[in-house]
Parts: sequence; structure tokens; C-alpha cells
Amino acid sequence: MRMSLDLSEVPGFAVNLALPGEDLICLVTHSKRKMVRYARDQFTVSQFWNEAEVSILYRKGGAVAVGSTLNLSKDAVQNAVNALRKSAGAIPKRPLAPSLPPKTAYVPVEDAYDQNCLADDDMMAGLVLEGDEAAKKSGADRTAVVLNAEEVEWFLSSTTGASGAAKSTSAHMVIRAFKESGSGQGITASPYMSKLDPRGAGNKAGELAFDSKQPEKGEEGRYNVVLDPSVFANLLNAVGFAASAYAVEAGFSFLEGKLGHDVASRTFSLYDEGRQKAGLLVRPFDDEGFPTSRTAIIEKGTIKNYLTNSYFSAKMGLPDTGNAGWIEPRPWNLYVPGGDSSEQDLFSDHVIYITNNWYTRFQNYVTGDFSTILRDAVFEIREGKRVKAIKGLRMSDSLIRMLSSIAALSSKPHLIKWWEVETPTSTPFVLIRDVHLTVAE
Amino acid sequence: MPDEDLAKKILTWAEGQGVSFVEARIEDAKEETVLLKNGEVDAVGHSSAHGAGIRVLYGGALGFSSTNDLREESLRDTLRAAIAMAKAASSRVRNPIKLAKTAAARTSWASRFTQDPFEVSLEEKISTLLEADRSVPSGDVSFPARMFSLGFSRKRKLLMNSFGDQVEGDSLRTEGFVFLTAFNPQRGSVQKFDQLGESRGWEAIKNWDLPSRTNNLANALSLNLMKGVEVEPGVMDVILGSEVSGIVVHESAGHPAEADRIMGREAAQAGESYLRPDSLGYRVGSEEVNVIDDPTIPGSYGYYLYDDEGVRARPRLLIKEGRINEFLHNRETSAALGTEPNGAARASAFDREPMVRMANTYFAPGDRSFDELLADIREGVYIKSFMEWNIDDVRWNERYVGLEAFRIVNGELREPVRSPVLEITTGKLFSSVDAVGKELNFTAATCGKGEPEQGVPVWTGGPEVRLRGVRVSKR
Repeated sequence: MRMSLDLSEVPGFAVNLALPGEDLICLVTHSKRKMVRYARDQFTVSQFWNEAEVSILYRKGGAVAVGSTLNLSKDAVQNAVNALRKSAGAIPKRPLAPSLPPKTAYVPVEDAYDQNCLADDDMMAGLVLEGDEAAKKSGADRTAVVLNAEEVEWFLSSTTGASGAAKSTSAHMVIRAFKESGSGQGITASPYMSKLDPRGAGNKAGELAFDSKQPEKGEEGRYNVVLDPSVFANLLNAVGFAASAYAVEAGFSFLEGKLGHDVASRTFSLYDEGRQKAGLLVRPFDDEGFPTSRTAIIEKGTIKNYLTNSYFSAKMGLPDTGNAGWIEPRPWNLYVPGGDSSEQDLFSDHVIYITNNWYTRFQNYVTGDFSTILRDAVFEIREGKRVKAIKGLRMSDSLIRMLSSIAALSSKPHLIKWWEVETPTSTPFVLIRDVHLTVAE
Repeated sequence: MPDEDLAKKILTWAEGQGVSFVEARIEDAKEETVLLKNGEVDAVGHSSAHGAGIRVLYGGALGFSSTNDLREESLRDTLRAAIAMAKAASSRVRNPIKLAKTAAARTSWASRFTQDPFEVSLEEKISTLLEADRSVPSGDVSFPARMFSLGFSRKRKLLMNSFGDQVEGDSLRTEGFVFLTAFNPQRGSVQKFDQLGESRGWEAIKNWDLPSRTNNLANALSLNLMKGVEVEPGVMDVILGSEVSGIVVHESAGHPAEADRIMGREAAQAGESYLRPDSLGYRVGSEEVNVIDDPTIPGSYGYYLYDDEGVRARPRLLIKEGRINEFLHNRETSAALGTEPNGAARASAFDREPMVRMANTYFAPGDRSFDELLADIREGVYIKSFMEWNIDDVRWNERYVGLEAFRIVNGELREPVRSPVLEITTGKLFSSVDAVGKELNFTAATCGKGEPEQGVPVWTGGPEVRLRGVRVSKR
């Protein structure tokens, strides 16, 4: 896409507008994205986006102003810088103005880019139909499918000399299958369109739907549960959010005050993989130009790090983890290493298997008290066999208590990305003891 | 205003391309946000956006494409992309998508405001937030985490389509946000969001009186934290406050009435509905239950007079005396179900497809005073506000956890109650309504739906509503 300014030139142009004593970072994000959606046995809408956004951080002393524009003309960029300069002049100064990174040699991330990710429209339609067909062969009556493909390139410059460019891709498909009163979901995700597995996702969705076609109403109680990676990934997104230093300071975190303390079972570790090989939309620098990296959030049950940017690193006296967000540090890719158990091992006892969830909401972020709706197939499992499908349950518990009650993890992490899992997350199946499930009257 | 000539050119270029419908939406938008955290200005943000979204119908399939490059070459590419996507999808059309046509609209609408917030100095905005922060009281309860924000948006948009519609919209919104964490070493913590939003200018901020509002909220949290007792679980009468009755009708009357859910289009994301295409007339609650969705309320957060498909907006009576009365429609769903579109198509920005959405959904008021609602309750709970809530994806199994709540004994409000849980089905909840208050209040919210996600501003509202004999549990 041609713009008024060549995209790669915008950051340099913006940074050159800085006056002495001003810090300025300019990040251009150019996204090309396709999405094909399918339901009722036909395509419901097919979409393509081609957009470039200029984001600018302006800092003078301790005053910070941020701006963005979708207008890439020189005048628009100049106007944006002028507006930020004017705003920063009106802001009471914060005592901290930590250093921004100097010129840095960024190491490209491996397996992050697929030049064919934005596939031909007919090929994308074909992949959707392949997933739909697989789900129906596995027992589904109908499906709803969405296939996403995205290619993003970033260009960054700062007044301190940092300068970088990167591009990476993401493809993911979600298949939701229905059979009578049952439903199931399958997910496949990769930076490479050719590595998606629509058949595998469709088979899983269809099989779950078929096996849950006649569910019985569940009963409130505390149960040992096995969470599918989709479910655990959704909860881990809440943990990743709580690990942001911003969340810690703003009252959105149950990890506040717990650095160095045990917050989970020793079998559990959680990393932010800023450079995850074959991750989705991975890049080698954060929004400030610091290199992204691997950060241990929780290691063998102990919280090791909050995710920081330069401001929170300086304010809290913690390492800069390369997770900027100019205002709010955030995780890039969450990763839970596999455990010692096979997936079959987790189901060998009497457990409830929860395959999907949605609508996770907190009563109190500090205590971690939350609930989430169990969506799609839920099974009572005895000795590895699905003895009953259950409906109408809600998980109503505390994340602190649940992390401490992790009993086992399967050995293989699965990459999850869908509507309810915003941050790509690789996690195995997990067995958690005594989880509180409730039902509606 | 967005360039009318560009929109006309897009329609012209589409001629002879095999499309049965084309729609061009061009927008200019700007936003300003001021964020205060724990007494410090965290950041000030400015953003501007412009771009075009093009939607076409080709061979019974829909294609949509957008760009922020408004040069002709780019717009031609964008149109080509929309047609190519639709063309690929048209290979598998069982029921060709149709869009209901309405009498062509050539008009404009705008939010009304007294004082343009973009003309108010940043110093005054910061001063307003600092004053609100200073209004948080000190005492046995501390407030270690305090967040405040103000936001302003102005969006000028132009829609033209091959049906002959040409609608210009100019919307201005003012938003506020407060999040407080109250803490006591012996009693723990409670938290509460307070979201405000109107289609007005700076005058809205003055009306809100953030300092006194924040002080009231902080005092309410302190009372709940220090004096709140656990509810004794059981079956009892419940009075829902306006904030709660508003979220109830948004979740379990508004969302399930969205015809695209009913038809299964959103099944992979936001889900479906307990309603079916033939559910009009279905009794879902008592005769006291009347629910309206109305985009035309002047100054409301969800205000608009023409939707993002160019259809004139009007109030929709979703539930009438306990029976399902009307669905929310866009052009596609109304054509499929053989009715008229009722102006419920909204797109959160130029780069999102218009889809079926709510605007301002409220439980219609009745004729009872709050004292009358209380009077004959022997044992119950008044749930004035909530924090945690969720509902299943067919909008039947829902949960609301009270934040400000009080025990009711023999017609009188008693001690505060901490975190009473109402976990109930839509049918049970609406069927349990036996009396409705007369004072209607609204709460601002951002309603999420769609993939990519589209958050749109809405009001949820209602009066106090009494439920008879429902189960209440504790967290």
C-alpha cells in the first residue's frame, strides 16, 4: 500500500521533528488482514483490511503524551507531534524520566514470517470448507467457522538512536460444531498458513459436539477438573494481564506484593516468550525499542517478575523486561512448559473435563475472585471414559486458589488463539483440584 | 466532513463489476483521553483516524474491505479486494444473502452539545480529575488504587450506497471512568468500576460532578467493606437497583433479540440465542416486564438517528408485557426473516462491517416508589450495584454478584451485605418480576460483539425491580 509517506520513512521523519530536550519514539504498524467467516453452511462475510497507523510517544522531562494517526501525510505527522508537545506542556511532571534505548542490533525472530500467509481467497475458502467437512464427518450437524490471516510489519525509530523494522504473520482458525444440544470447539494456529490443521480442528469440534449431544444438568460442588488448553489459555491471559506492572499499580492484579512469593503449585511455570519461535505476530523489539525476550513470570510456583517498560522498571526498581506498551506493559506470548503427565494420565481419575469457556469476569482483581461460563462440551470422566455430558455450569473460584491447586500438567503445550484468548498462549492440559463449579437456579 | 466525491466514485467504480449492492462509508474521527492514576497524570492521548470501508454483495455473498489510504488508487484496490473476497465466497451460497431496501434517505444528523470538549483546555481536564481524586476520603479504609479518566470523541461519517441512501452523521461523545479499590487490613478489599458516557459536550462533565460522585462511591465502598455481612443463602425476595436491572435487560433481552445471533451468524464468537426466528409472542416473563431499545434518546451514550446502513433509527419494544415483541435487525436479517429493518446496524469504525447491535436498552419503568417495593418484603436483599457478571452464549444462564447491597427485613433496609450472588436463568428472573419502580436511570457501558471485536457505546437502564422468591447465594 502506498501512502503519502513511504511507511519505512515515517518514523525517521517524525523523530527529526523533536526539539532539543525532547524524547520521541515513532512506531508505524502496517497490518494486512483477511478473515473468512462461515455459518449456516455458507460464507457469511469475507473481509480484508489494509491499514497503517503511526503511533508517537512524546516525553519531555516527566510529562508523557501519546498519539496516533491513520493519516500518513507529513502534515498529519507534524500536527500530531505539535499536539503532543502542547499537551505535555500542560501535564504535571512525573519524577521519573527513565532512559530510552540506544541504537540496538535486533536479532530477527525465527519462523515468524510466512510470505504466503495472506493466502489466495479461494484457498482460504477451501480451508474453511475442509474444517467444516471434518467436523461433520465426526458427527456434527452444523458448524460456524472463522479463519484469520494477518501480516504485520513494524517500523520504529527513537530520538535515542533505536531503529528497527520487522514483520511477522499469524493464521488461526476456530471451528465450532453443533449436534442437537451439544457443541464443541477446535482451534488451529500457526504463523504459517500451510501449517494450519483444519481437519484436526474440525475433527475435535465435531467429536466434542457429538459426544455432548444430550447433556444433563450439572450440580454445584467442588470437583477435580481437567482444563483443555483453550480454557487454561483464557485464564492465563488474566494471569498475564495481572503480571503487568501497570495492573499491579492500578489495582488490577492478584500478584501485587507477591514478587518472590509462592503463588502457584511447584509443578507450574509461566513465561512470556517475547521471541517465541513459530509464535504469532512475534517481533524483536517492544514499543520503546527494547529487545523482546523470555521473561519468567512464575517459575516452579514462585512469582519471579512483573512485566515492565522503562517507566515501571525505574519506578519499581525492576529489570526492564521488554514488554512496552508505552503506558501499559503487556505480555507477547504466554508459554507454560509441559509437565510429566500424558493427557491420558490426567483423565485416569474421576474428573470433570472442561473443553471451552467464555465471559470471564472478576468480582475483585486483588483477590482474584472470578467466574467464567463453561461453554461447549463438559464431560464427567471416570477412568478415562466420558460417562456423561454436563451443561449449565459456571466456574466460580479464585485464581490464586486455583494456581495453588494445580496437580498435574500434560507434556505437550498447544498454541491457542481465538476470540476469548487475545494473547497467544501455548499451554498443555492441566488438572486442578477442588474447583468450585456452580449452576443457575 | 468526509469527501462526498470519493464515496460517489466508489459507487461508480462498482458499476459493471457484477455486484448487486455496494456501500461506501468514509469517516473522519478524533479522540482525546486523559488518564489519572493514584493522583498522577499517567498520560494524555490524542488520536485521529480517517478511512473508508466498502461492502459489496456479489452472487449472494458479502465482501468487506477497508483502508486508511483515501487516494483513488488505494480505494480502487479496496473495492477490488471486497469484490474478490465476496466472489470467492459466492462459490458456496445456499441461501443468497439479500439486503432489505428502504425508502432512500438523503439526510444528516448530529449530536447536540453546548461546549465542545476539544476546545476545553487540558489544564481544566486535569484539574477536574485531580479534584475527583482528592474527594476520596481517608479513614479506616484506604484507597491504594484509584484510576480516573476522561475521554472525548468526535466522529464525522458519510454513508452512500447503491440503494440511493446518502447519510451524514456527526457524533460527539464524552466519557468518564472511575475505578476504586478500597482496603482495610482486617476486612480486605472491595473494588468498583463507574463508567459514564453521553452524547454531549463538556457540559456532561459538569453535570456528573465527579468529585461528589467519587466521594459517594468511596463512602459506599467503605460502608460495604467495614460493615458488610455475608448473606444467608436461600430463597428470598430481591430488589435490583437500576444499574443491575439495566445490565439484566442488556444481557438477557437485548442480546438475545439480535437477529444475527438468532440466525446463527455469530455462533463461533458471541454465540446464538435462546430465541428462534418464530419466537415472537413467546412468553419469557411476567406482565410487568417491558424492555425497550431506543437509539434516539437525546444525549444518550448510544445515540444515533440513522444507523450505519442508512436506516432511520426508532425505539424497539423488545419485550411487551412479558412476551417477545420485536427483534433487532439490520438489512440482512430483516430480509431473511421477511420484515423491515429497524435501524440496529452499527459499525464501531469505518474499518468494521455494520452488524446488529443495541443502542440504549432499558427496563421500562412502572409506577411503584422504592418504599412501596420494600414494603411487603419480609426477608430479602437489595442489590443496588454489581461488579462480577456473566451470561452464557445463548443468553439464558446468568450471574450477577452484588457490590453495594443491603439486607431487607420486614420492609426496611438493614445492614450492608457483601457479594450476594444471583445465579439464575433468564426465564426464572423475568418470571419472578412482580413490581417495577418508577424512577428510570441509565448507566454507560461499552458493548462488545463481533470479530474483529467491535465495542460500541450503549446505555443500560431501568428502575428498581422486585423479584419474588429467587435463590440468593454467597461468593
